[in-house]
Amino acid sequence: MYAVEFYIFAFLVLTAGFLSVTTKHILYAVFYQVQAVVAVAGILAGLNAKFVSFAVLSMSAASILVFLMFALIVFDGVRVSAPPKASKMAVMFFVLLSMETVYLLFKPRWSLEKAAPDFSLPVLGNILYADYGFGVLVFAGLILSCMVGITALLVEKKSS
Amino acid sequence: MTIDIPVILTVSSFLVFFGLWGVMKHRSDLMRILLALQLIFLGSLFNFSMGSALFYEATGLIFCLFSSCLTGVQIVASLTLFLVYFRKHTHLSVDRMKG
Repeated sequence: MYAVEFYIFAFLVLTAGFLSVTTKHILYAVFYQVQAVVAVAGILAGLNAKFVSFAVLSMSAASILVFLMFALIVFDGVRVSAPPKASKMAVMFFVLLSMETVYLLFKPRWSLEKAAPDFSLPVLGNILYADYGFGVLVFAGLILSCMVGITALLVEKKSS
Repeated sequence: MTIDIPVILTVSSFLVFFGLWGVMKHRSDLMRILLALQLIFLGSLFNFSMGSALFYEATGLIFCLFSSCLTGVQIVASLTLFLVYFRKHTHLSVDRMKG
């Protein structure tokens, strides 16, 4: 990974994290969080860890989508109304996000030499299932118990 | 230009600091606390991945995967608890929870 790329993405992560905390509007805070996650995924892609980058991106996208849906349902559009200067912020957000996405998609074609070790899926899979098989089982059990608990919480009891 | 270890540690420390600051700043808003917690997880994820690349060891990326998995579980589980609380009390304000 080139150092300039790392510094650009690190700056983006820090700026997005700072703005995510300081902004008053929860919708913008979520958008800045998306920027931070995409920038971290860009760093991971630069480190030849494309599978982990994709996993982090998809996991965060799913969780942030659930978060947004929850915010929209709970607050019912009252607290998520657009503040002033919303259009400029939205344009900046989407331009920056599209630039990062273009980098993520085309980065493997630009680099000619490997600056980092090979973190491909077979390498990670070997380590994951050979050395950390027990950890995978524990996490699978954790996720399964969470799903069962969430389902049990959300199912409403029928009155007899 | 090289990527030094202090730079990596500084960036991840700032991310964790921003997350803690967010938790302290938005104490009365549960949703914002959840967002700030995700920032802390992002800092640890960044640290694991960069350490993995620096020391030519893929173990850090495995922990990165575990960490991102844990973040997703944490967010979904807390949102479920918030939803259950919201159904019962029709608010999510910490100040009103205290009574």
